[in-house]
Formats: sequence, C-alpha cells, structure tokens
Amino acid sequence: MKLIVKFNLVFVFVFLLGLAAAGTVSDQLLQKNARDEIVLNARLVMESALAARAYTSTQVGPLLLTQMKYTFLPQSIPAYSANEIFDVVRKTFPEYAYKEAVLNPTNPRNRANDWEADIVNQFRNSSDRPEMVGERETPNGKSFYIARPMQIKAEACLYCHSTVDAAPKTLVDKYGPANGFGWKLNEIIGAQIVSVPTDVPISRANRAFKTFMISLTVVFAFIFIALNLMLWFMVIRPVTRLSKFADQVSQGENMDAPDFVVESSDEIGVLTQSFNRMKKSLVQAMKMLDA
Amino acid sequence: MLVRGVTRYALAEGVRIQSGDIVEVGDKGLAVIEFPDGAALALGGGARMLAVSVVRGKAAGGNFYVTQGALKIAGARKDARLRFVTPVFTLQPVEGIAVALVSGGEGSVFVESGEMRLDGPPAKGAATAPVRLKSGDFLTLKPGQKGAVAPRPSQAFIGALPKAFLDTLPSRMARYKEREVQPRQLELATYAEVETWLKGPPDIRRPLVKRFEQRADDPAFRAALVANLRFHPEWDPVLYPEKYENPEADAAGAARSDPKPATPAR
Repeated sequence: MKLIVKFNLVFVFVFLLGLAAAGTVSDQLLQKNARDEIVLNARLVMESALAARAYTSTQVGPLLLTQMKYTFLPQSIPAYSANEIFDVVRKTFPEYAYKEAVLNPTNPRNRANDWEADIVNQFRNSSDRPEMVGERETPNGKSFYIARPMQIKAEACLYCHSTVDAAPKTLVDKYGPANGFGWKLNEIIGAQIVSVPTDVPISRANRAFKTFMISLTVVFAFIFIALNLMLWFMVIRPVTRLSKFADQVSQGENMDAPDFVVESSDEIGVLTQSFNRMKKSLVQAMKMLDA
Repeated sequence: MLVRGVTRYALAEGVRIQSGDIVEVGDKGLAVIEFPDGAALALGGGARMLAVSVVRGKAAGGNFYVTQGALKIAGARKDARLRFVTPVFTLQPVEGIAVALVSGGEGSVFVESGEMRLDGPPAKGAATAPVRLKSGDFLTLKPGQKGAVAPRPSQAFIGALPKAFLDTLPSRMARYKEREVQPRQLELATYAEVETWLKGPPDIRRPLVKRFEQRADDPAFRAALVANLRFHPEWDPVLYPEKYENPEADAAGAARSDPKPATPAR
C-alpha cells in the first residue's frame, strides 16, 4: 500500500471521527443555545409587556381618567397596551405568541384556558415561583412556553378591578358587571405566557448545525487537498525519483551520472546527500576492485 | 372676541374678565376663565357668554349668561357662588365638575364629578323644581319636554363637545398672576355683534340700554335698533325721546304736529 493511500486513509478516518465528535457536541450546544435564545427573547417580550403595562398604569391611565368618564378608552388599560405593543413586535417575530391569561378577566379574550389555568394555579399555590418554562403537546405539534405570574402590586389596578361601583361606568358598560372584579392587592390573578412552537428552536438549531457541518467539511476538504499536494511534492515525488535513481545505480547503470539533485535542506535533502555519498563510495570501491 | 363697554377687542391669553364683558369664542377656539380658588370656566368653539357680574374675592363667584355653545365648569367648591344662565336652564354648581352644551334651544348637562343644581325653564309660567344632578348624571332638556336623568352621557353629546373638554382643564393662571394683559382694541361694536344680547331676556337686555345708548348716535346702529325695536322695546325712549318729554310740552307738540297719542314702552 502506497504511502499516500495510507496517509489518506488515516486522514479520512481522523476527519470522520472529528466530524462526528464535533457534530455531536455542536448539535447539543446549538440546540441548547437555540432554546436559550428563545427563552431570552421570550423574557424580553415579557419585560416589554410589563414595561408597557407599568407605563400605561402609572402614566397614560391617569391622563385618560377624565376621558374615561365620557367614553371607554382601551388605551388606558394596561393589558390592552401590552397586547398592542406585542402585536407590533409580532410583525418581526411572527412565531411568538403572547397572552395574559387571567382566571377572572375583564375582557373575555384574556380568560385562561385549561392548561393556562393550571399554570396560573401553580403560581398561586407557590407565590415565590418567578417563572415556569416547559413544553406541551398541541394539535400542531409540541409547543415551548415560558410563563410568569401576574400579581396585583399597584393600588391603581384596583380602580378598575375592585368592585363594580368603583370601576369607571364606561368600563362596566363595555364589559358588563360580571367579570374582572374582586381582585385583591398582591393576588396572583393570571400569568403572562409566551409560547413558541418547538419546531422553531429545533429548526433554528438545525440550520446552524447544517451550516457548521458544511463549513467544517469544506475546511477539512481544503486541508485534505493541501496536505496531499504537500505530501506529493515534498515527500512522495522526490522519494520516488530517488528510489528510481537508486534502482539504476544498484543495477550498475548511471554510475558516471552526476549526483542526484534535490534543492532542499530537509530530511529528503539529507537523504539525497547521503545517497550521493554512498554512490561515490560505491563507484570508488568498484574502481578499486577493477584495478 | 371681547366686547367691553361699547368697543370690540381681540381677546388674548391673560386678559382679566370684568363684569359686563361679552365673550365670543371662534368656531375652533377655546377660552378658559380661571378663578383664584382654582375653579375654571371653559368655553368651547362658537360659545357666546355675557359676564353679567364677576365677583372679586377668594371664592369663585359670578353670574354668567351663555346663549350657545359648550361650557365646562371645573373645580367648583362649596363656597363658590357661580351661576350660569342659558336660554334652556340655569346651572348652579354645588361642587365639582360639569359640562354643558346649549344649542338650538336644547341644552344638556353632564356632571363629571360632584353635584350641580339645575333649574329648568318655567313650565306654563310656573317655576319648575330644581334638579340635583350627581356625579355621572346626564340630563337633556328640550323645549316642551321634561328631561329624564340618564346615568351616561349620550354619544351625540360627547361628539359635540370640544376634545379639550374630555380632559382635565390645564391651569395657566400662575403665568399671569403678577402680569395684567390688556386686550387689543379693535373698533366700536356693531349692532350685529351685540344683537344676540340686545334681543336677550329682559333681565339681560334692559341693563344694556344704558351701556349701548351712545351707539344709537351711529346711523347704522340706530337703523338696526329701529328695525328690531319689537325685540327690544326698552330702546324706544332712547330712539324717540320726544315721545317721552313732559305731558304739557308733549300735548302742545302733539297738537301742533301729530294728532296720535304717544305709545308708552312695554
């Protein structure tokens, strides 16, 4: 088996081993990073929603208090602001869904469904739990979610949600007296839930993995070609020529031919010099025998 | 626009309103009269108001006649002595904030907060009992109809109000506490500019005779007074003083020129 074949077999074996190891590690890492990124983005969405809620509650709402006596303005409602802002965000991140799931909401569209109610109740049962992250099965496949409790921390919230009599009449006109009342200070009334189909982080990680593996293969291929060329020009070709020259000398041919020339000072050059010395010694020995 | 005395002025921010001032707000304008105690009266676009009397003092006080337009009374306190007369009703704030709209012989009042007393027009000559409107109450009075208090303002009412009335009125009084702004004098008021007031209810128009008496010397003003004399007969002695000279001279004069007896003013 030729040297280059042996070398390439070893190289390919090492390359495949390295590719597999790198693939395994990078796949796990990329999957984890994609999930972490989704969680981070979801947290950003939640923080943005919280900021919008706080801004509406503390700054916009008081400005619209007088107007609320005339007509209901959803712009003064924190949940409305949060949802409106998220709708804008969603134009850039359409895969994200945001809901303020509430057990007893003013607006029926915010009512928590079964699995959301479970999350809210878990938060209510352990009020020190800051966040929940998980996956659930949906008709469209697995869905990844992150949830945070919604706790009534400001008295201002109770202006609309304590009793029917205390709430703005226009709000009661809009949503009726049955829902969204009886909230208490520090009570966990719902949860902010951001959900993303699990396919999203997986496909994102897969895309990154594919790109990484292709890049790695291209780099290996380049190294493979470069090493082969170097091996050919620096080792195999001079050794082959030297070997052919040695064959001729051993058969008594080219004894008077000039020295084999290799213009390098590496191991091949040293070997050539040694061979040339050996040839000279052989020629002299032959001449002494002939004399 | 401001009519003070017999002269028309251009209203500017910071002008102090006096008794007898007539204020007319342009269609897209907004005027706010602030009182030292924090009370305020805002007039929407197209509003016309005569400050019959403005009481100087710590507590808001005054008697205002508003013929048309939207007005908002804000920050009225219990010790305030404010009274707003319109062709449809008389509004006296007890305390709080109210918005009223007078247009086309119809008037509506919405109490944002506090309590207001409302006197409707006399029905068949008899005074009607005053209505106490509380926070959130809305009442519309139409000619010949007894209004019913509703718990919400109507959409038509809200739609007719200036947008600024739906918010808390901002106070600008502090900027003019130490500075008196004089309105820019324009021209003498024409008959058309004060016609609404000269043809108003007797209580309003009668005191105006003395005020605008000198304008009767203006031929155009006088001609208009003569043409509309049936709406303000109290002007007859001003326009035809000879009719009201002493009886002897009158009789002598009548014997010389006119066989008909003079008709006294109503």
